[in-house]
This record gives sequence, C-alpha cells and structure tokens, in this order.
Amino acid sequence: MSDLIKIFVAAFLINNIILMRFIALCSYIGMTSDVGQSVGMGLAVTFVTVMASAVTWPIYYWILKPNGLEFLEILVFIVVIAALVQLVEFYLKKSVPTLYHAMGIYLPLITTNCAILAVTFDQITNNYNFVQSIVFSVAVSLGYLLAMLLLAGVRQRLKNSPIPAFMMDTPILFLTTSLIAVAFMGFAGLIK
Amino acid sequence: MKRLFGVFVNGLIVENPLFVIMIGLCSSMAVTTTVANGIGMGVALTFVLVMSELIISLFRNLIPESIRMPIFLIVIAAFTTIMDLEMKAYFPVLSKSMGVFIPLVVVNCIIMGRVEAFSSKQPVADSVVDGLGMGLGYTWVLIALAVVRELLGNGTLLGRQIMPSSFAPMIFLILPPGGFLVFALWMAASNDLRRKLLAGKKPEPTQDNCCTLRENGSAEKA
Amino acid sequence: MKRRQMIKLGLILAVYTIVGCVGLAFVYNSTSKTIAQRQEADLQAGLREVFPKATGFTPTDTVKSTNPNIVFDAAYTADGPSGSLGIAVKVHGPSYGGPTTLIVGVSTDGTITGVKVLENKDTPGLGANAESSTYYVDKATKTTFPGQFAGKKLTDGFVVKKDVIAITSATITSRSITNLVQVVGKAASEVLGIGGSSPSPSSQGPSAVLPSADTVRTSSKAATSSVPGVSILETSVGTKAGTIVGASAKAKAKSYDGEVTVLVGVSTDGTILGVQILECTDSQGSPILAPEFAQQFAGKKAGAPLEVGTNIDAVSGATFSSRGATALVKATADALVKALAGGGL
Repeated sequence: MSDLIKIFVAAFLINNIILMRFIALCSYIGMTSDVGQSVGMGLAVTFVTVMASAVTWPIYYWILKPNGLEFLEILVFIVVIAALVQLVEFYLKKSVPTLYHAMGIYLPLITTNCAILAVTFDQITNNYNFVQSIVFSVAVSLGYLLAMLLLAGVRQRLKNSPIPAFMMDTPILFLTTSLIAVAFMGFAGLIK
Repeated sequence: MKRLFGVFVNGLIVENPLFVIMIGLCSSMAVTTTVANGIGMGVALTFVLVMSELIISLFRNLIPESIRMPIFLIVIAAFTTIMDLEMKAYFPVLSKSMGVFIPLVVVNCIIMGRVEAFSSKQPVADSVVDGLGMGLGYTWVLIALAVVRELLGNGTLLGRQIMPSSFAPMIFLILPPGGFLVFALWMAASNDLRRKLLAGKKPEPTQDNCCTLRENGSAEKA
Repeated sequence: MKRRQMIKLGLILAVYTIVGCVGLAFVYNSTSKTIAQRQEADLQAGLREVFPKATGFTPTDTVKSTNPNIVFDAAYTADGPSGSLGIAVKVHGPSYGGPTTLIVGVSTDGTITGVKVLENKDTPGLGANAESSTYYVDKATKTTFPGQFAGKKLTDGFVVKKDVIAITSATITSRSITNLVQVVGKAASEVLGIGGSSPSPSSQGPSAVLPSADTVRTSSKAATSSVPGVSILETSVGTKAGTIVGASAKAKAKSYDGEVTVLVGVSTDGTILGVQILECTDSQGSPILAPEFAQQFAGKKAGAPLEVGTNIDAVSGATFSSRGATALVKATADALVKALAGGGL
C-alpha cells in the first residue's frame, strides 16, 4: 500500500507532469484561458489517460513483449490511443450526452496530448505492475488537472493586471509558470 | 528557387514553431539542460519531420481524406521508432539522457501540424524544404535556450568548462522553473523584436491547430 | 458510408500499417545487434572500471538481493591471475525520478572496489550529478559521488551526510545510491564469506542492552509476542549475582518495504534498558541504524505508549522505517515484560 501512496504523491506533486517535466505544455498554454475549459480538458485527459493506461499495459506485457515486438511500442500505443479516443467519443455522444457536452469537445485534441502517451511509456520504463500503473496514471492526470487549474486561476487575474509591454501575452504565462514551479519544488521533500 | 527559400525562412523565423506558433513546447524545455541534448533533440525532430513530410507529400494523392489522420500517425510513429532505435544504437548517451522525450516526438504538434497543413497539399520539394526550415527553426531555439541554461547553470558549454572556477553556477536555471524562466525571457525578446520589425502592421494572428479550440468552440482536429 | 467504401478504406489503412511494421522490423533487426553490443560494451567497461586488474568476469547466480525493490540484474566473479578478486553486481533500484542502475564491485577482503552509475533519471543539475564525471563531492581530491565509495570497507558506516558525502540538494538520490551499494555489499559479503558486513552491534550480544547485568545467558523459555507479524528470534536473561535483573530479545518484523531486526533489553521493573537496531532492509531505511535513534528508547517504560512523533523522534528521511522499528521495539518490550512476569526464564 505504501508504495502506491509513494507513486501517487511522486507523480501528482513532486514530478508534476507539467510543472516539473514540461510534458503537455501545448494544452497547458492553449486551454487555460478559461477556468471551465481548463477543468473540462483536465477531466477529459484524466478519463482517457486512465483508460489508455489500462489498455496499453496488457497489450505490452501480453502481446508485444512475449512476441519480441517491443520495437512497435510507439506505433501501437499511439494508434491504440487514437482509436480509444474515437471510441470514447462515439460512446459518449450516443449514450451519455450530458458528459459528452461537458468534455466531448476536448476529446479530439487529446489524441496528440503528450501527457497520455508519456504515461503509457513511463509505466513500462518504470516496470510498474498493473495496479501501480493505474495509480500512476490517475496521479499524473490529476497533477495535470491541478496545474491547468492553477494557471487558469492566475490567468483570470492577469487579464486585468498591468503587465510590462515586452512581457505581454505568452512570456508572462511562462514567467508565472516558473514561479508556480518554484513552489512545486518544495514538494520534493514529501517522500524520502 | 526563390519560392523554396521563402518556405525555408518561413519555418526558420517567420512562423518559427516555438516562438511564433508555440507548438512542440514540451521537449524544448525538458531537454535543454545541456547544449548537446538540445542539438540531439533538434536533429532527431528534424529527421522525423523531413522524412514524414517527404513520404506524405509523395503519397498525398493516395491518402483518402477520411482516414488521413490515422495514416499520418502511422507514418510519423514509424519514423519516430526508426529514429529512436538509431539513437539507441549509435548515440546511447544522448538517447538515455533524453529518455521519454524521444518517443514523445510522435505527438509533437510541429510534425502533425506541418504534415496536415503543408505537405498533404504541397509538392515534394516544398515539403522537404518546409521540414528542414521548421526543423532548424526548432533546433536553433533549443540551442539558444540550452546555451543560456548550460553556461549559467553549470558553467560549461558542450561539457567543456567555460566559466572561471570562481563562478558559482546558478543551478536554478537547470531546474524546471529555470527552464520556464529562460523560455519566457527568450520569447519576450523575440516578441519584442517582431513587434519592432512589424511596426505599424498588425501581425497575422497565428493559430496553432493542435492544442486550442476554434473560435466557434468546435475542435480543429478529427 | 457504403460497405464497399469502408472495406476499401480499411484495406488502405492495413496496407500502410503493414508496410510500416515490416519497415520497422528491418530497422529493428539491423539496430538490435548494435544496441545489444553497446549495452554489453557498457557493462564490460563498467565491470573493468570497478575491477581494473581482473582478467575476466564469470557470471554467477549465487548473489541474492535481500530487498524486493532492489533487483540484481547480473552478478559476476572477477577472476584474477591467482583466483577470484571479488564480486561485481549490476543492480537497479528505485530513486527519485525512476530506476537507477549501478555496477558495484566488492573485493574478497570486504572493500568496495568501485561504483559506476550506468543509468540515472534524476533531476538534471541535482540528482543527475551522480552520473557526472565532473561533479565532485570533494573538490580538493576530485572525488565524484560514486567515486567516494571506492576503498570503503563494508564494515564502515553508510549513513548519508555522515559517512557518505551527499550530492548538494539531492539527498534522496544520494541515499538511494548508497542504499543500493550497501545491499550489494551485504549480499556479496555473504557469498564471499566475509561476514560482519555492517557495523553489527550484535557481536556485542544481548549484554549491550542489559548494562546492569553481570552475566547473560540464553533463556530456557522464549518470550512470545501477541502482536501479529512480530517474530522473536532469541531470548536472553541477564542476572546480577544470581538474581534476574532483566531480559532481552532479538525480534524481527516487516517494516516499510523490507524487514527490521532489533535487540531490546527490559529490566524487571519494566523499564527499557537499551535498544539496538540490528538490521533494516528497507530501501533508504539505513539511517535508523544510527545509534542516536536507538538511544531514545533507553529509560522509557515498556508499558507506556511509544510513538514516533510524540515521544520518539523519527530519523529524517526514514519516517516509515522509524515507525516500523518503534512498533517492533514496543511489541518486543511488551513480550519481555510478560515473560519476566510469568517467570521460569
């Protein structure tokens, strides 16, 4: 149990996927101009990441590895994730329209979201077992959601703040992110 | 010839993927702790970009519109794997230090974006030149970031000690927050320059089609 | 969409996929040999670095890891011109940013011959300095972090920031590497038959935790603990001028992710006389072996609650192991009090 908690805390805060590992920055900048949007995107990513993790783990250990096909990892994973996103979109549209309206529109952006693919590769590199992989994927995607929400909150205030002309637009966002990241470095001591 | 040169400069500066269109950001900060990594990543991405653009441009008439996305993904993933394997075989040290960012090239928005917007419609020569321009445009920004971070953060350049031994390295710049800071400053400088060059003319709003929703709220990508 | 159209699209997609996969298979075939050769060359270079005088390395499978999180990938005996020089182990275990892989060499006389970092995924600029050949923990002698282990005796202490110089701002990386080295050292010394791999206070025996006794003998009746998971290994009785003044027991229980073994001495009036932490196989649990931690227990009443955070201070960086050890000390002390009261020792 304690190793799961350790994995969770490390992936959620200490090695936060956006602030500490720079993964999924495109959507971090692109989708945080509105708090609602950032939460929708964060939840959609969480949903797909956990599913992708649950699907790619067995594929790797039961199909690719026993047949010596590890080199197809990148190709298979990206195709599986793309297909998965399509399926989820179809399913939500037909069966759960309310959920579809909440996060369906973000799904097409997710195929090329680095976070999901990074999680599926990391769980293999870190030799996680199935349960550890799932915990890891939940933690990473919640970390993603947290970072998105933090920047979206700051951006609301930035809209009405006097910003030096040369820092306007994106540079100030990265500067803000740098400061948030400094704060996150403080989490490093959370696990021994 | 002039046209090709225009395409090349477009990627290198005018529509620089990192500073102007702002796509493919992830790897740009993660690997730029040393100049060697920056160059390695730049070359790796350029290779995948040029090869994917070449192949897709060659076969652009044989790719049905409705299934173009899966085909693009397969082509890009194949070249990423090739690059990954070659790196492991011939540049093991670089490959190790870049870790997960090598396979992540497959979802680098620069590649998907250029393939979709450019080479699926343009002739082969233009596509290759576009790939080179965009790839090098990406590479020089990585080098610019890495030079600052490695020189000030570690006192070295390409692993050689440059700063006098009395210089205390600013480790902060190598750490993640430092990456964001250096990028923010470089970007501010680049924007400032662009604003001065385009004085009077309002710059075209460049919209990346990879990570943001369209105005009407529908997603760009299928 | 017409069915015919669907099939056509499916076939086109299949063709692209198959061409892609076959192409990759060819590239993989041509590169996999080079990759394997590279890894083998890296391994050989690493082995040579820790045993420069060896004439060859023979794989062996006798060396076993004592911690489930620390995996020995391969172990070799280093062959010299006149017999074995020692053992080299390729080992990987968890660190800050992912698994770390090392080669550790242990000579037949119980000295660490060298440590080579093969792979480390920790933060660039901090933890990653473990791998750097230009990052010195001791600038005067140009000693790198793994370099400081060369020549270290297995009987020396392995506490980071005390016996081992840590990498600046990367205590966790320093600890996990030190722990890997220590686990290899312990396993290798068992195979090499050196023994006494850690500064084992058990050599002083139960008398160390029964200072008031003049003679200590093995008890005729073993103490038993009612706490599940705690196994009491040996029980001893301390006497002074013929009367029993206290009893001690060596006990073992599961801790964070390994096991902890303690030696506890209790007087007849139920006061803890002394505690020694004999062994801790937790990853990064080694700091609790420091005597400062065990000393806190002396003088505490066995009946009173012992709790990390209230009356016992955890060793920083090893909170979980501190808790595990404290719980075990408490259980053992209780068992001893019961045994002393029961008589017949």
